Formats: sequence, C-alpha cells, structure tokens
Amino acid sequence: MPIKINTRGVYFLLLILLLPIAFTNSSCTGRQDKKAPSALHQPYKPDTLSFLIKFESSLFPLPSPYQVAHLVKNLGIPFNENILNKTENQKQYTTSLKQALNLGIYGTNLSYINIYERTPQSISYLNTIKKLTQELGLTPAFNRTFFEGIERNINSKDSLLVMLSRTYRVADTYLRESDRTEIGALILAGGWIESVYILSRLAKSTSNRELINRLGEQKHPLDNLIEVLTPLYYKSAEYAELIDMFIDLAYEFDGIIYSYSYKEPKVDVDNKIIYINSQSRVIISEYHLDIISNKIENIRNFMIE
Amino acid sequence: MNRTLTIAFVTLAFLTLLSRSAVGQLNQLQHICSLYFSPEYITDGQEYFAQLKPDQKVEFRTTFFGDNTYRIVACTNLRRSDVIFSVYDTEKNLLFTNANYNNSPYWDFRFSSSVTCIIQVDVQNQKFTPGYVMLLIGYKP
Repeated sequence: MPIKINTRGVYFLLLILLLPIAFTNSSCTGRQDKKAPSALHQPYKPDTLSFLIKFESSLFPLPSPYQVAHLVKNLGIPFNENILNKTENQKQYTTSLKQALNLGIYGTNLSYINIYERTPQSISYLNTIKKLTQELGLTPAFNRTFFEGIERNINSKDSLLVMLSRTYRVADTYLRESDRTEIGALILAGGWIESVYILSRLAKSTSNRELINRLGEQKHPLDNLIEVLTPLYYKSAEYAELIDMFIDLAYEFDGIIYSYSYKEPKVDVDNKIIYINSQSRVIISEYHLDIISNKIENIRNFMIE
Repeated sequence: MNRTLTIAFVTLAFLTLLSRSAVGQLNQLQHICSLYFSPEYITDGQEYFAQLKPDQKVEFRTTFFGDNTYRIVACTNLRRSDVIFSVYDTEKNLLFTNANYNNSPYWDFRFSSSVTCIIQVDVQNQKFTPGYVMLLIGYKP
C-alpha cells in the first residue's frame, strides 16, 4: 500500500531532520550535552594504526610567492621586470583554466613587485588581478573593500603582503565552499610555477647557491601539486596536457640528490619556539638545473600564452 | 509525481540547512584560529580544514625552508576539546608535539635547514563528537 504524505507529514519530517542540526549548533555555541555521543575518542598515540585522512585538496605551495620575493630581495638581486608576465596578456585569457592559472601568476608577480616597492607597477598588476577575479566570479572574496584597502596600503609593502595573502586564503575557502576547488587548485598551480620560474631564472643568471638549493627543494611541493591536480586530468585535453607537463617535470626532480640527517630539536617553552636543528643538503648538477629550468619555462609559457 | 516532488523538496531543504550549518562551523573555526595568527606572520594563502571522525587523524606533508621561522596554529570548534598536532620528519623522528605542552594551539618553528615534515593532527576529548579541525601555517618575513 502506497504511503500517503500530506503537508503536515512533510513538516513533521522536516522537524525530525532539523533536530540533529539544532543540537549540533547548540554544542558549538557553548552548551555541551552531557548525554551526547557515547563513542569514546582514543587518546593520542603517535604510532597507532588509526585511520589517517588527508586534508581535502591539501597543498602547501611553499615557498609561498611572498617567501620567494623576500629571499630574492634579501640576496640583493636587483629587480627584473622582464621576468614578469605582462599585464597586457590578461585580455587573451578567455577560459577559466587560463584565467585561474594567471590569477596565481599575477599574484606572485604582485608580491615580487611589491617587495621592491614599485608602486606604479603594483597598481597595474592589481587592476589586472581585479579583472581576472571578476571574470572568475570571485568578487565575494576579492570585494571592493579589499581593493580599497590595498589601494590605501599600496606604499606599505608589509601591509599589502598581509592583505594579499589573507585574501588568497579567503578566496581558497570561498572556492571550496562553493564546490569550485578546481579553480583554487589552478590558482595555486599558477602561483607555484611563477615562483619557481622566478627562482630558476635568477638562479641561472646569478649562480647563487641559495637560490639553486631552494629550487632543488621543490620536489615535495611539486608532488603535492600533482596530487591536487590529478583529479582534473580528464576535464579536457588542455588540463591533461598541463598535468602531463607537471609529471614530466617531477621526473627531473627525482634526479636531484637530497641528503638529510636528524638532530634533536630544542624547545624554548617561554617563547614558544622550537629550533629544528636537522640538516639537509641538496646536490643539483648544472645539467639538471638547465633541464629543470627549461621545463619550468615550458609550463609557464603554456600558462601565459 | 506529487510525492516525488515533496521528497525532493524535503531532501533539498535538509541538504541546504546542513551545508549552511557546516559553513557556519567553518566560519567559527576561522575566527578561533585567526586569534593565534598574529599580523607579523604571512599566511601561505590556504586554510586547511577537515572533518574528523572517531579514530581518525589528519596528516599531510610539507616542506619548511631553512633560515625561516614559521607559525603553526591548530584549532577545533569542539568545546572542551584540544587539538594535538605533531611534527615528524620523513624518517618518522618526532620533532615536536604540543601534547607535551598542554596542547597549546600555536607554536613557532625555526628551521636552520630545509626539512620536509609530516604533520599529524588529532582531536582529544573524552566524549567524541564529530567536528572540524583547522590548521594555519604562516612564515615570518
């Protein structure tokens, strides 16, 4: 016999469904239900076989674009405008793939320009970022308040960096909440490739050991990036081509020799600082540096053309 | 037909409210975490959050670069719960766990050399209720 659902029945069902949510919210706002779930949580043990999960789309794109810019400036390397993606190119980015990738690229460029306190260029790159965020529908994150705040702090490099990085964080969360994680992943990919492009160009032109080492340490960030991008592989041939290029680059990173020796850390409890004393070393040949730099440039060209 | 529409409506209403509840929890979590993230630290541009179920830990791998100071903040929206975060190197040597320091939610890390680390996050409370954990990482210029 078929079940007859009338309006009152629907309301009752809705009430039943909403009750757990009401209780969840009340527990978050301070009231702890003493009779709530009985499943006991296991105390923490570092080496148990507890089920591990990964942060959704987790990726730490370190060094962040801001770190690269700081490193380059601190080494006394002069500003080089030629390594940036020109703002005029923005008009040719008509697909969401290219728009998102280049939003990441221009964000890195803006960080680099800002560290060198080049205000006129900063304004130009900021306007380009504004156009891309509008085209990508990211205005809830990059809203008018954000751009007004940036314009007010355009001469204060530290304030601008903090604002910019926070807003990219808000955008990342916004994209996750609106089920557009692929756009967030592409922004990260663009930001990462531009960071390593700047590193590789400057490492080759200056032969600075610190820059070369920093480039050689990108193996794990690249592996993470590939992991985040892989679910997008079958979206289109263009996505597949991009991911294949990243995988090809990862093979070259496997040729870098990386050694590590553990040393006991020291904890300064009063200042809440842990000094990690372990030592690592990167050995990268000229040959590998050339190949890696060329492959990075190819991926970057694919993104900006 | 009418019945199908009614069920679809109820399901949709339920999912919408559930989604809003989750977003609300995440907003609350962002606020809690930000309290420990002082302005001198520049975030890496992402927020890492995950929903924990019993017997689950969250784990990820990241590279910290030499001659840099980082801040790690871990928090949860669960009342009377502590987030425990532990940092290991890739050889599984424990570099730090806040469990040894009253589960304090933020710590700074000064790396003399670049190290790839595995960070594990877990929630400790006596009566487990599902909730979110969030992690923020920033570096000090």
